[in-house]
Amino acid sequence: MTETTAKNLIYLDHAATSWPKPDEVGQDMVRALTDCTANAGRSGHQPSVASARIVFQTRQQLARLLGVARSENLVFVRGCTEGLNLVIKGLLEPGDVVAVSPMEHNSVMRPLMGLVRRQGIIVETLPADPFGRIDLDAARRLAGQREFALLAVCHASNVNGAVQDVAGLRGVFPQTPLLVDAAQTAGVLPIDVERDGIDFLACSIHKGLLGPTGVGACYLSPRYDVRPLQEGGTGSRSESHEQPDFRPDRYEAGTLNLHGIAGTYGALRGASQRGLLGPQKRQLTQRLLDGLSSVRNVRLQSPADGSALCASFTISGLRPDEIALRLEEGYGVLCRPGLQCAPAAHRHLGTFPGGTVRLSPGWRNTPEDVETALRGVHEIARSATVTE
Amino acid sequence: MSGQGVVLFYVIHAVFQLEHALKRRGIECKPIPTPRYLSSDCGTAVRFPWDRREEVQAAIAEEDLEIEGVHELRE
Repeated sequence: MTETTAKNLIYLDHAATSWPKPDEVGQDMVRALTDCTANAGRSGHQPSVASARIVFQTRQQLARLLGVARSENLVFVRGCTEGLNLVIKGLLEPGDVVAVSPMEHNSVMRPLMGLVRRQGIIVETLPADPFGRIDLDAARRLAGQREFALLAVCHASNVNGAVQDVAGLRGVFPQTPLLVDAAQTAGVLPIDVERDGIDFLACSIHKGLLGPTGVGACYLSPRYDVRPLQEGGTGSRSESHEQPDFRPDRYEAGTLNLHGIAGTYGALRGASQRGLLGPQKRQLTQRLLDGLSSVRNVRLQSPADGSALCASFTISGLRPDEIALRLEEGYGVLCRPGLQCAPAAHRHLGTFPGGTVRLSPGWRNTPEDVETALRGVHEIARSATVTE
Repeated sequence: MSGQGVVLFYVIHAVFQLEHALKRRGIECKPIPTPRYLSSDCGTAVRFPWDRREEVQAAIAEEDLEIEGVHELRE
C-alpha cells in the first residue's frame, strides 16, 4: 500500500485487524530482529537470555492488563483461534455438554462441531435477545436443569459488536468452567480474569491491542489441567520424552514467535498511554448507528444503545458485498461484508446467508471518517431506490 | 569454591521472576548458562553472591517459586 493510497483510505475494518499499527510495534519488532535473534530460553548465553527476557516482560505486561495474578498461567499461542482450540480440545471429554452464546465465531463453533462428530459432545445454545446477548433469566432456568462441562462465550460479537455480560453469566453458572473469547475486547474493554471468575480466556494481539498478527495469548486457570495442543521441545526437562507439567512450558512447545511477541510488547508500551479503546470505539459506533438509522430501507443489526463496538447493517434490495464495493470505490471506505466467519451469529440475527455490512472503527478513526462513511451509505441507498 | 552461588530452575519464566525479586532486594545477580555438572534441566540459572544465600532462599519462598536447587559454584 503506497503512502498516497493509504492517506485516501478510511479504514473501518478494525474488527478484522487494526491498522495502522502504533510506531512502537514496528520499532520493537525491528529491534528484536536486528539486536536479539537467539532462541529464547534455550541456550543460556546472553542473547538467548535477552530474548527470553522479552518473552517474560511481555507476558508480565499482558498478565497485568488481563488481571492474571500469576503470569505463568498466560501462555503464548499463534492467535486467538489457537487459544480457543487449546481449551476446547484439551478440556472436553466424550459426551460432555457445552453451552454457547448464539454469537460464536467459527473459531469456537468449528472445533466444537469437530468434537460433536468425533466424540459425541453436545452443544446447546443459550437463549438470547435479538442482538444475541444472553438472556440471563432464561439461562438461569436452564442452569438449574443441566450440568455443562464448559460455557463458551465471545465477549463481544465480531458480527454486530454486542457485548455479553460476563460477570452476570458467571453468577448464573457459578461452577461451570467459563471460556471467554476476547478477540474483540482485549485492549478495548476492562478484563480481569480473577475478578470476573474467568477460567479460560483467549485473545488475539493484532486487534484491540494493535499489535502484530501471528501471536495471541491464552489464560488457563490453574484449577484445570488442560491437555496441550502440541508437544515438543521447551528448553526444559530436556532429558525426558514427556511434556513438562509446569507452566508456561507445558503449552509452549517449539520456538516461540519472538518477533511477534516483541511487537506485542511495543503495542503494550503504547497501550499504557492510550488506555482502553472501548470509549472511543463505542462513541464512533453509536454515531454510525444513529446516522444509519435514517437511511431508507436500512435495518440495524447492532444494538443502538451505546454499547456496541461495531455497526452492522443491511439495506433491503442491496447485497452487502455490493455496498462494500461501492463504499470502497466511491468513498475509500474499507469495511467487511458477508458472514464475517460467524454463520451462527447470522442465523440468530436472521441475516444468513447473505450477511451484513460491518463498519468497525478503531483508534485512528475520526468523526469525519464516520461522516464520510454515512454519506456513502446514504448515497448508495438513494441510488438503489432510484433504480428500483 | 568461587564465592558464587547458583539457583537452578525447571522453567526459564521463574529465572526472571527471581531476577526481578533479587534486584528489588538489592542483591546482585545474573542469568547464566546452567552448569551441566549440576543439571540437564532449564538451560538458564541465576548466579548470585554465595554469602547472600539466606536472602535468596527467603526471596524464593516469598515469591513462591519452584526451583530445582541452590548450589555453590565450583571455581
